Amino acid sequence: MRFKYSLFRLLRDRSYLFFALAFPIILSTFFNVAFSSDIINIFESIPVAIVEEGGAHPMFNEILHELAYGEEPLLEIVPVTSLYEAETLLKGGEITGVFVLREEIELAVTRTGINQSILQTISNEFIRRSATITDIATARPDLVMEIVAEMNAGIDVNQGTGGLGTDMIIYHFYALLAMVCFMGSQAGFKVSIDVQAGISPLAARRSVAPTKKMAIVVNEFGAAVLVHAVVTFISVAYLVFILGINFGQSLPLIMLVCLVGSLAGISFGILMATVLKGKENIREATMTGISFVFYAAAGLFQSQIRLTVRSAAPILDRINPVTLISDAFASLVIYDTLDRYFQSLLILLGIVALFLVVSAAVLRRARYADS
Amino acid sequence: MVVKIDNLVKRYKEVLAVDHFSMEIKEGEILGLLGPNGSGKTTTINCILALLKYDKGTVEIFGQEMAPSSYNIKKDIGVVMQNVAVFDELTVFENIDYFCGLYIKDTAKRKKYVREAIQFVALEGFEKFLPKKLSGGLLRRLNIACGIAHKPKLIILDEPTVAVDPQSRDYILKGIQELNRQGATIIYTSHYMEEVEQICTRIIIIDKGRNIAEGTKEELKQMIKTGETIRINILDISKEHVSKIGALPNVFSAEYMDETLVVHCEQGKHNLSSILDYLSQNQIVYDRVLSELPTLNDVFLEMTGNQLRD
Repeated sequence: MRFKYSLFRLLRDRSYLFFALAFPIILSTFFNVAFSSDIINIFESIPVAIVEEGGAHPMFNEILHELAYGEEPLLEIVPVTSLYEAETLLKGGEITGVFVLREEIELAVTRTGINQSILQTISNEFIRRSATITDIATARPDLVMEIVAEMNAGIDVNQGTGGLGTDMIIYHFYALLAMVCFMGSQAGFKVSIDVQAGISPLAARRSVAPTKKMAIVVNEFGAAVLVHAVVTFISVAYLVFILGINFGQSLPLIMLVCLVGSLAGISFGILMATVLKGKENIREATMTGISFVFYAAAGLFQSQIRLTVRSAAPILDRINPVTLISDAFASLVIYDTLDRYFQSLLILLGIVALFLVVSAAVLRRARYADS
Repeated sequence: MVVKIDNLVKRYKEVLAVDHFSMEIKEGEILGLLGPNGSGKTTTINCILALLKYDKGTVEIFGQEMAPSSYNIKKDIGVVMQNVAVFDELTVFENIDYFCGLYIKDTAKRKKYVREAIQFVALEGFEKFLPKKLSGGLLRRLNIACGIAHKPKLIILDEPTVAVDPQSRDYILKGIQELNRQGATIIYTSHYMEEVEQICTRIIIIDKGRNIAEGTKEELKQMIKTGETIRINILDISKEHVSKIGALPNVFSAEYMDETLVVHCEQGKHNLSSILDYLSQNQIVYDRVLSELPTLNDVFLEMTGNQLRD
């Protein structure tokens, strides 16, 4: 039923296309330029020097060496004999930072950048956990190596700008894709608004036609999913083929997240337009505000917020649709198996079903413009 | 009977928007719902269309009770909303085709109807234009085309000429009469008495949600005392003379304001000459003189105490 025109409406909606397509392309191009100097180095180890003064913080020293171990080590420890030598290497740009282990752990860097942020994250993470680590190490010395391994994983997976260690830059692009998916809420919002006779004259005109409201909604929903999924695929294609971002072998799985993420965004938009009260612009502003809360809680603006939410309210963290989308993307990089990936998608699909069932129930009940 | 409304009541909390309103519309009529802004016209229309839930009363269309799910009734109704309701992202042709498609499933028939609707509202040459490229008048014509393309038996037009230039207004009014000639029964709401007088075969005056009076325009004018209103430009006249003019035969009110003497007379002969004789005899200088037959505004004024455009 008039599916073609539903597609035309979305494809000619400049505001929607700007925020769903042009804006992410511009932003990803900006990311690419901003990170370009670090991209070359992102899969290379970060050269650092460690200066011990008085044998302080042996545990941290051990962790740093652990991070410099393995096939793709995060750190490369450059041996030095003195603080002076380390500072000379730092000034000459031969190393990125110097860890000075005194009473306090000090980090010396000469400029700002992604690699410097990673070093700072390592330092902060240890300080945050040091009391616990020391207690466990005293009580159970046999667990020291496990603690170090856990610490290593903790720094590698959970910290930094997105929590992905060497993959932080790619995580930024995943976060961007999560936002693109969820911007489908704009398309979903219109699907619902345009069938509510009390809100728009267009909806009133449709309501007096001999066509069932739910038939119109299903038609428009289908068009919105199709268009928005294509929009997100275009964003992925731009990242891969124009910017040359390497997503590895997981491209089909990334496309699947894009599709499910688009469903989540669109169904969220439908829900907001349906259950919120007031005029259209008030509902839209509220929806945008709630979306930004989701973005913030997912750590898209500042990763620390995500960590806070995760520790304070882990359930909320696990049901935030934007977090689930970005987690699904990130799990392709972090984990060897797809368990976490499919778990995120299944929860996401459950949320989509909930949003749609609630919306359908409310829309069906509202037979009149003033009900 | 095409439409039958009995004792309709619609409240918005404490406000009584439609107050025990009843009316009937026969096939082939152009019924005008005339009333000032806020008189309850649009609310009544929305109740007829089952867009609003009403508190009391019944609405029957084509002999059946109207409800939101009355699709067999809705297929024969065309609606032109007060606000322009078209998709900004679709062209003129696509908009009409979309809305016609909600009623007509047969593609060939629909295409034919869409072409006829475009011709009817004279939008040939604008088929590929987006609505934002159209002038206000053309946009209103598109709004009408979207409402009538499926050739409905009952057409409801809610203030379709608001903010339209005189040329487009005239075009729209002639179009409505043509639709009626083609067999459609029409409900036309407006607060412009001239439009209602021009096209409607029967008129209902509505105020505060109530049916104040109904009939043909001639019947409505017969219902009031005013048979003639005389306006005379006078630079200066005393209150004493004004009250004496008010006491002349057939005159039931006279007032002087803004250098104009306004005299309301009952129907009768020589009203104007007797007033002018009085002015001459009393050496009162006057220049322009205007004598008007009663208008629907006079009907409304006498029945409600307010002007139609208050």
